[in-house]
Amino acid sequence: MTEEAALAGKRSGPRPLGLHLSLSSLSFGSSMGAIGLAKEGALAWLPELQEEAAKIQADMQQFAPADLIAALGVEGQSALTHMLSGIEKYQSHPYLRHMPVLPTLWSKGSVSLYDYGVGLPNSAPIIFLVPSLVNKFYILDLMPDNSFVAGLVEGGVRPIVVDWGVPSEVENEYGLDDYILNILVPALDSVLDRFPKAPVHLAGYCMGGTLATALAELKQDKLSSLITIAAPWDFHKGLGQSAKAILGNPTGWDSILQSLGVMPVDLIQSFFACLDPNLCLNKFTLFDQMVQSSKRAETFVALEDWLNDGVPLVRKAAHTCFVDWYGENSPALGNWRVGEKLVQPHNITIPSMIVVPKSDRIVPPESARALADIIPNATLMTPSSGHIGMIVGSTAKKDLWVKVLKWVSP
Amino acid sequence: MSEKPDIETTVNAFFRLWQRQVTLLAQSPEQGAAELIEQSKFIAERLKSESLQDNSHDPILEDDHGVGEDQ
Repeated sequence: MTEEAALAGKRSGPRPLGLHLSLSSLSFGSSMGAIGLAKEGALAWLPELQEEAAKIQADMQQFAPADLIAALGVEGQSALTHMLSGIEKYQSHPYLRHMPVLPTLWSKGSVSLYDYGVGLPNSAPIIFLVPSLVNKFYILDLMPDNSFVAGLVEGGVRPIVVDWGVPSEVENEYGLDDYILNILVPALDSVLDRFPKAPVHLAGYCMGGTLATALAELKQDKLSSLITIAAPWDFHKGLGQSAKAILGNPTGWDSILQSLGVMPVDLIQSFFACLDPNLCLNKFTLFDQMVQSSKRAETFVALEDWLNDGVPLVRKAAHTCFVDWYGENSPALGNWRVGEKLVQPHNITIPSMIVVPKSDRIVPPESARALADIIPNATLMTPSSGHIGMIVGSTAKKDLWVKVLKWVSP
Repeated sequence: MSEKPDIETTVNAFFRLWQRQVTLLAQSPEQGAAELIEQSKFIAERLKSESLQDNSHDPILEDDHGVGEDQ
């Protein structure tokens, strides 16, 4: 919880709470309906689960159906009770993230540019980091001992991070073009002016990587390299059932945007929640069992706070994301325009590293890998972690952080 | 002879497996769901055929059928 949220009272997450509770109850309720069929071998299982299902079915033959249903009822109730207890513990957990005061290099409207490398020589390599527009930048600096940007500084690299802020009336009518041409271009120019002797590498995380790709094409004569980290490019590749059901209706998105004027955080969060209907049940059950004063519990709270601290996406930008990108797949088809210009990554000639986490459930690996296929001579890097674990997980330090440092170090 | 499994362990294993199925289905491309539907149809056909086979020797059903014909 940020200090601001703390002042307003206890947490209300995980957001949207109603959807998370419904999905957890549905998961348990549907299992009650399925167990009888599973015992009779009348339930279809996905191929990769069939062997285990057959073993469990054999064990089930030892018990009467009524006993199995009663025992499953106890099991499910226990899981739901632990989840609710975990949520309550999370909502009232004393951990509070203290936002460090960061030197601002440049700002415009709600957007600021932070220099994490104060103290480094002016010639130190720079990584200009572009985060997603829908989540705050501080996942890159989650905790003092779990901070990607601090790791870069330790390695002698100056991270300069874009903080998009929360859109105000200045950005209300912004499209993605405006975010790139009116924000990222002048922000990057200010860095180039301020540190003329430093090699500047452009990096983007998640949707920020998609934006960075467009920026790289425009500014590559000034850049040393491009790094995209789990950046979606082919929006029709690798989407699961839930994502397709939610994203496959551009008309629905447009009517939401017309009536609300923005894509609200809870709607964006709903999309993420549906990617794994069991996530809330499992993670808060686990959190309930953690020692609440432990480092592990604090890290859980820090990450959960970040997840629930999303940012709404303004109307025009959301239209491009949901209708043009997910609906029409304009980037991969070469139809995405920034200003008058089509974005064509095959024109990027600077060294490029495309990071594609193998276990990414938010951006399908096939979608992110598409950039490595388009950008000439791109280097593909595939950490074994997931979309967020790659940045703050237990293996992040030895995997992504080290590889990025190695990439930018002279 | 194998030991009788514990019912709590059995239902726990089932619940975990069911959750994995729900999650995998949500995340897998359409092909996974399509295969599952096909498999379900196959199981339904098998159960239907087993049921018809069993019912063909059911004296009660045969009587009912006779009553129906009389009417």
